[in-house]
Order: sequence, then C-alpha cells, then structure tokens
Amino acid sequence: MNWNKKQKTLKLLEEKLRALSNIEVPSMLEAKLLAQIPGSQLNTQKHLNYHWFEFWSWGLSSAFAAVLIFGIVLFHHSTLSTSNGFVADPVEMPSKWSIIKQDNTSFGMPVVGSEPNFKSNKEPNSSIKKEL
Amino acid sequence: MGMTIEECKEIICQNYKEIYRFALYLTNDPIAAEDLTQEIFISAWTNADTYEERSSIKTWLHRIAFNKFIDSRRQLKRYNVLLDNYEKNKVKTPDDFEPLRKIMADEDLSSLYKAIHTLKEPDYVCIVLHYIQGLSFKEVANVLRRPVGTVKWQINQAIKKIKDCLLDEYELE
Repeated sequence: MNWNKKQKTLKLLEEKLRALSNIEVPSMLEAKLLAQIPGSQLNTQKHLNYHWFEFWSWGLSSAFAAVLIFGIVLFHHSTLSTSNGFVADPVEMPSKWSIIKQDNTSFGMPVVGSEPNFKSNKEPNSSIKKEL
Repeated sequence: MGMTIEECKEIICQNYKEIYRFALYLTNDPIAAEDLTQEIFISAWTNADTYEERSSIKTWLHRIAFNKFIDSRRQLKRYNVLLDNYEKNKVKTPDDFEPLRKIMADEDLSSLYKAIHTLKEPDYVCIVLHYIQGLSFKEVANVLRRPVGTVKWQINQAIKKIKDCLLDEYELE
C-alpha cells in the first residue's frame, strides 16, 4: 500500500487508527472479573436489611415456638389433671357439715353458710357398749 | 454510589473488553494487561463511592485504569520491566503478542501500530484513548485531568508525527 498517496487524507489515517481496536480478548477474563465482585461490600444496605430480616424472623419464630410449647404443656397438664381426678378449675364444694335449708325469704333458693351441726342424735359407740 | 451485584455484572459485561484493550496498549503485554484489568475493576468496586455521575462509567473506568497503570508502574518492579519493554522493544512479533494478531496480519495496521509506538507517552495515551478507545476530546481530558484544548493540541501533534513516521518508513522502502 502506498502511504504517500493515501495517508495524506486524515480520515483514512483516523479510520486505520480506529481499526487498531480490533484485538482479541482472553476468553476467561470476563469470568475472572465476575468472580471478583465483592458482594458483601457492595450490598451493604441489602446486607443490613438481610440481617434485620434474619433477626426478626429468628425472633418471631422463637417467640412462636415458645408460645406453642407453653400451650402444649399447659394443655397436656390440664388433661392429666382431670384424668387423675383433680379439677382443673377448682370450684368450692359444699362441705359435709354445711346445711342447706330452704328459706322462704330467699324465694326457694338454697342458702349456704348455716352453722355446722356437730351434734348427733346417736351417741357414739352405743352399739358396741350394748354388745360389751 | 451504592452498587448491587447485578449492576457490577452489567458494568463488567459492557466495559471489560475496552478496559482490557486500554490496559494492553498501556502495558504492551497480554498477561500484564489481564492482571491490570483485574486490578482496575477491584479498584473500581472499592472506590465505588468516588464515582460521580457527571462522567460516564466508561470515562470513570478509563481514569481508574490510567491512574492504576501510573501507580503500578511507579511502585511495582514488574511494571518498570514493562516500561523498559515499552521503551526498548516497542513492537513485538505477532507470535508473542496474540491479542494483536489480526492487527499484525494487516500490513497497514502493522505499520500504524509501529508508528504510534514512536510517540512519546502523553501523545501516545491521547491517541489510544481518542481513536482506539473511542473517547471524545472531553472524555480524554477528563481521564487525563488535562484541559480539553491541551488534549486537542496533543492529538493534532501526534497525528502529524504519525504521518511523518509513515512517510519516512515508505520513503526508506
């Protein structure tokens, strides 16, 4: 090629200079560069958000698990109590010496709380005495 | 500037070829160019906060590349060796320089490649950035931290020198 004739035109020279960009790039370079991306440093905000999410999810799941375990234990305990003859919800039963009597003034409703009667018509051990 | 991993991937995919080419023209060594390209992108990720959206990502990466090259050449012995190679053995054979095989296969381009390596480094970098890397005068000025007028003048002077070099070469033949 005769540069004396052609290189005088600046456009041709510039065109040739631009053609110098036609180089080959190593095939593995892109993969190497992609592998270098430091995700933890760049995604600081994302990373923090993730930590918050992790913290809250851990906390909520722990709280839920604790409540669930407490509920199961409570339910199991109440079931066992009733089967053993205990009353889970204790209600005050009338004692054997309580006297329920009808009172006209209370419209037929039983009245609890009268004086206990310790006296008995029968004397104790009277039949034993007779036998002796 | 906060960059996500996806944004970083996009930046790499769009720019790594150009940055490698620039590194190759700076170092004149394919392996050193590859190392330098990796260092450039690492530096880019670590200094992502310094990116100002006034300039394009391409310009920003080129500026990092040039600064990295200058720093590396100052500090590291291997880049001093490369500088010596640049000064002494400016043109290598196609066998030694595989990425430039296509260029070396073309007679005109091979001559031009030799001619641009006769330039002094500031002019050479301007020519590489403007014609080979495709940056505008303003972008070249931004990369080199020089006034736009100075860059234009340097490029004009460099073109004249290239012409003279090519004329001399063919006159000798």
